[in-house]
Amino acid sequence: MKLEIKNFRAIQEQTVELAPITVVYGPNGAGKSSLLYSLLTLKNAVLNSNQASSGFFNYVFASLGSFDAVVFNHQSTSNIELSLTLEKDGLTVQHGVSFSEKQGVLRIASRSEDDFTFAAELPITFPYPGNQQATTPVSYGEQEFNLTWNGVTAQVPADPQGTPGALQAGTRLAAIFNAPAEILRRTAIVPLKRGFSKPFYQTQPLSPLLINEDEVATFISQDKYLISRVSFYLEKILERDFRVNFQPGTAIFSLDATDKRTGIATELVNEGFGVNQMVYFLSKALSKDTEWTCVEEPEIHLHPSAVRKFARALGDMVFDESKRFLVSTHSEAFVAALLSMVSDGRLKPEYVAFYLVRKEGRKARFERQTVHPNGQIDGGLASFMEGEMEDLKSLLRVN
Amino acid sequence: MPIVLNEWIIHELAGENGLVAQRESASFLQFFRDGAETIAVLRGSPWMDKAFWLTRIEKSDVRILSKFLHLAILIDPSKCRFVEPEEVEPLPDDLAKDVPVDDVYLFQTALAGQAGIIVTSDLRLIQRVTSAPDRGIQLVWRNDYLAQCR
Repeated sequence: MKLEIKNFRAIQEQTVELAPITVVYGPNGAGKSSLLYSLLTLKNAVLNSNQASSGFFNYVFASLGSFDAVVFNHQSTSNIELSLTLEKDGLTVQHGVSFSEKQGVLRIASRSEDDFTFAAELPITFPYPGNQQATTPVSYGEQEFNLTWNGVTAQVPADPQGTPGALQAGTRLAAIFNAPAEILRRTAIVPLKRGFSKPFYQTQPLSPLLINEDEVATFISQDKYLISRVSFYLEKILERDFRVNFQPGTAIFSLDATDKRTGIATELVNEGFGVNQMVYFLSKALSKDTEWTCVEEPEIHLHPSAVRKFARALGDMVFDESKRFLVSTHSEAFVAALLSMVSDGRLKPEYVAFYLVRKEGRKARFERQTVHPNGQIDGGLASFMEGEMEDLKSLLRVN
Repeated sequence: MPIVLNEWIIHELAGENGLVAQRESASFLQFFRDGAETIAVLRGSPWMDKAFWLTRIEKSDVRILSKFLHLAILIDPSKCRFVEPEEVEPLPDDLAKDVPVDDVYLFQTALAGQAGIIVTSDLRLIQRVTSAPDRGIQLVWRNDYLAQCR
């Protein structure tokens, strides 16, 4: 899967190949979060375009402001361009958007090898209520279809004279073209500001992004299977189990963890921040509606040994739960743990992608560091210790 | 062509041979990281054991140097060529008769890793293993090698 970004914050032009676990690291302000936010912006622009463009940059936990504030170099004459490309059933499908403050173009394209078999675009103005339609003939499996697309959803109208085989092929074709939007729909964010700050919660209405703690608490309290998955992974990572306890006859509940070493249970708010935030992360990542989880600095408040267990749990979630992760981090322990999983064969090198992000002038530059089966990584990881090397020069008085 | 370092580098990074040697080794690591050279290291060897031991030392300067050795050199395939134990073969007879038992793995690493130089702090080793050049291995005294790196 590939994310292409143009003119978004410090990213002038960048293509990022996304592996099941994609990790970005680098100095503060280099552009790591911009990568995560670009995916959220694409999600908003494609799935919720019935709003002003500034709404695409509002992720609930943060609002980046107007188009002018977000476009690269504040060049309001430039368009922000975002697209997601993936492979499905032997076809490459791309769904993207190019937009300025007031208007934009939604695009979808597919190709088999090098030949585009379908491409459509819809010029729109914001807010766009999804009321336009492009209809294009598409050849698929030696059959001809008319595919209609409103910028979000592709449909293949059933031909009343068609055979059952043609109907199935049409359904498959629509699923292929809807795959990028479906990925976006199943993308969640775990922001830096996360966790649970109350001993008790009351059931709340849920919004699509599920950001604030009341919503996340409500969401998890309503899914007993999710509770058990969260508990399973929390025990792997932090040796705590997790439970939701309702007060009888009320909609009031607490989120509780039990320390498996001592048997002592407590509300999450009375646990350490690491446990508290991990439950928030797991609740979102393990939701059946989530495939991709973007998470900012998951290592915060975790001891390095827990960071290592967390990395291993991510690997398990990729294989056992078909989950995918886009992670920004400052933790060399996290990166080293993933590399050691590659080295010991628990994770194939192609299942991880590491990007070192650096600022060059005003531009963020993403440098992919290739991972080798023995756990080595091109370019090494010395970027994590540039500050320490300065300390060392002082300590040893070396030049 | 990779080089093989014997264990002096670890002891010096640990500060066991004094501050001057530690500084020289620290500068060497930085020079090495920025240069085009590669080291060959035998996985599971005494050298690797000592590199791991280095991570256990809690002095702040040693901790930084140890991290640098691992994160900038050993983890980067353009800086470190790991030789796997199954790649090494017994030493040819001419080398085997000269090389002390404790140093056999260095020569095995050099041969399997196609390294042309072993950098050693042991002058007696250089004098003793006269057959090394015939096998394409040059033994270089640590001081001479570091002098070239400045």
